[in-house]
Amino acid sequence: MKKSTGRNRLKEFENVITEFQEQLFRFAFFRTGSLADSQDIVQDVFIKLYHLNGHLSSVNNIRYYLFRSISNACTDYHRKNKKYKFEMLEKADIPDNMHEEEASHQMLLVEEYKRIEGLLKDLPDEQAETIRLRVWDEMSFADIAEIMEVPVTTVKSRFKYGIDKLKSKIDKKGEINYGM
Amino acid sequence: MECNECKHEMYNLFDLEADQTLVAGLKEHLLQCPSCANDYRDMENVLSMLKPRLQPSASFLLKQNIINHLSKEEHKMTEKISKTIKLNSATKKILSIAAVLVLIMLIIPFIGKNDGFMNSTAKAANSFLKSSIDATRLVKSMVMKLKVRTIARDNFSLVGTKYGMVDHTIWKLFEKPEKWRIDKGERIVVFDGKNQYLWIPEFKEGIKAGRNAGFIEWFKILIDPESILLKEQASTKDKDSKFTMDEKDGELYMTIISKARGNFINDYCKNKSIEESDNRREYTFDSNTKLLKGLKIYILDMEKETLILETEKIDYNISIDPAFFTITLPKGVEWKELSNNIKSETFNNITSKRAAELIFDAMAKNNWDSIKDVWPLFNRITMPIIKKNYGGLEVIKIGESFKSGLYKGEFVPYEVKLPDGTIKKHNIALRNDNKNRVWIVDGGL
Repeated sequence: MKKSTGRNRLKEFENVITEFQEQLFRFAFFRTGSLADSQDIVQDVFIKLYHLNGHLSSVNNIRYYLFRSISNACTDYHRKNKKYKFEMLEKADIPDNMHEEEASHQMLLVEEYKRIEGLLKDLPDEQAETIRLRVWDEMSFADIAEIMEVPVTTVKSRFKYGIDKLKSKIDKKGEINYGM
Repeated sequence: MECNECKHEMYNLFDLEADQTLVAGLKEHLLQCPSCANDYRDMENVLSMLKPRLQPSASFLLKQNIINHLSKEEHKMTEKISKTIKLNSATKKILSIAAVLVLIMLIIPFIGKNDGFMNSTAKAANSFLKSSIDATRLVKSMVMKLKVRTIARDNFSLVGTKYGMVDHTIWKLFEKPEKWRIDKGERIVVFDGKNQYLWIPEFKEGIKAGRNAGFIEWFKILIDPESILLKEQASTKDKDSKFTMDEKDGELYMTIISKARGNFINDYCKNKSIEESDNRREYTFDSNTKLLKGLKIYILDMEKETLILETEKIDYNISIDPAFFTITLPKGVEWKELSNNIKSETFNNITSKRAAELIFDAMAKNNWDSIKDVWPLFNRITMPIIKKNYGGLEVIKIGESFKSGLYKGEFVPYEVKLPDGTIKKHNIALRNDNKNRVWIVDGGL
């Protein structure tokens, strides 16, 4: 992103938001399980990125920067909300004026988040996150390595061990306990 | 390739940028080895279990909120810079005048601008609104007559300083199940406790939708005085709102001035609804009953103010004929159900500009079948008019899409030559805030 000023800068930045907002929002949602909090997280990260104007040349790749920032923000979110997490998911704040189909879609999304998190809950964090990035965010191992700031070989082994553990969990129990 | 190597490297088949030679070797081995193929299938099964079956979408407000936040920051920065420049060049005389002005501002009573802490006016307003909300909760029925500067057959949220005043009436039963009716002459919406029904007599259009349908848009707040008051109570904490309060002759007057809400990088929607306008709302309450007696809303545009909405009468707890909460359609007309589940293979996963290009291209070729999915808001009366006026047009230009105000969709500028030879330049309104994110035509033709 080249440095520009005022209205032009905002206009350019709008294009950056358009390009990344959906991916980042999905990324945040499947790490927090909350649509409202994901929205806040994505908003804060974009605002921080905007403030980096002039320093953006030092950010080699906006995409990696954004995903890394959202990932860190989600980690902070879990640190802060750890003890309230279960209650928050159960309450799944649905505004009164929301369209019925939209409200039920939102409930289903939260259920889906809980289902998949239940599958990943016994894996070490770094293996679970590698799998999330590959499967949910459809990133290549090279992209994941950039975001997690580890070598590609490490990403590959985390993915492999994570999947192996999930496979043996299925083999052992015949079916997966979704943790629900 | 040996089985051990295949099992060890198999996960590379799930990498988007894997070495293609390795992938080819793995695939070749899988074709020949049932045991490894079985392991591969297990791995695929695990991954498919992990794949979300549903995907969330960011709210249309996300980008708008960010841009609004940043616009405000930019604006503050510009103000700060210009103030600094002025101060640097200011004389002592100017500074002394400024000091007097500050003193005057400090002693003006009862005018509040919130600055993070609620001032005394905002606190008083907040406290009065609380008691009014409590009083409103005991109301069983209400009939409100009002005038709004709008077009009788158009959307309920449409207002404009150049339109004439149109009579509106609202009937509301508060007891469960709540029922209401709002009538602006050429557009009527009824809620019978289960569904909303929109009736536009001119087009013989009857549309039925769920309880939360957006037929009455901003007006939904007027059918529920409690929500008006709750909204204003929230405004008391909004630093962009200003309050005045006054009490005389058994009535309490409250004035709230608010800034337009929405994204106005493109100001196409500025002043097209009350919320998208800088506005002043004047409330009159009965001091004893605490109930709302009157409301006036003014749009403030370039220092000029125009009365946009004015209540004439609000009656509480009067008997309302239950027949008001049903609409009987003329013979041959049936309710068309509005679904959020709009399906189209062509009009999702594309930009609004691309959708507009496809729509105008199809209209130019009279290929209406290819765009049949984009008209759920049009009916057997309005569609033939569209076909007659636009079929065979010539596209001159399709511009870049933009968002404006609080509109959930996007606008795409277009310039076309209509079959009758007239050149039309306008913005087509497209929205995709439905379940399957399908772009549909919402207006602008």
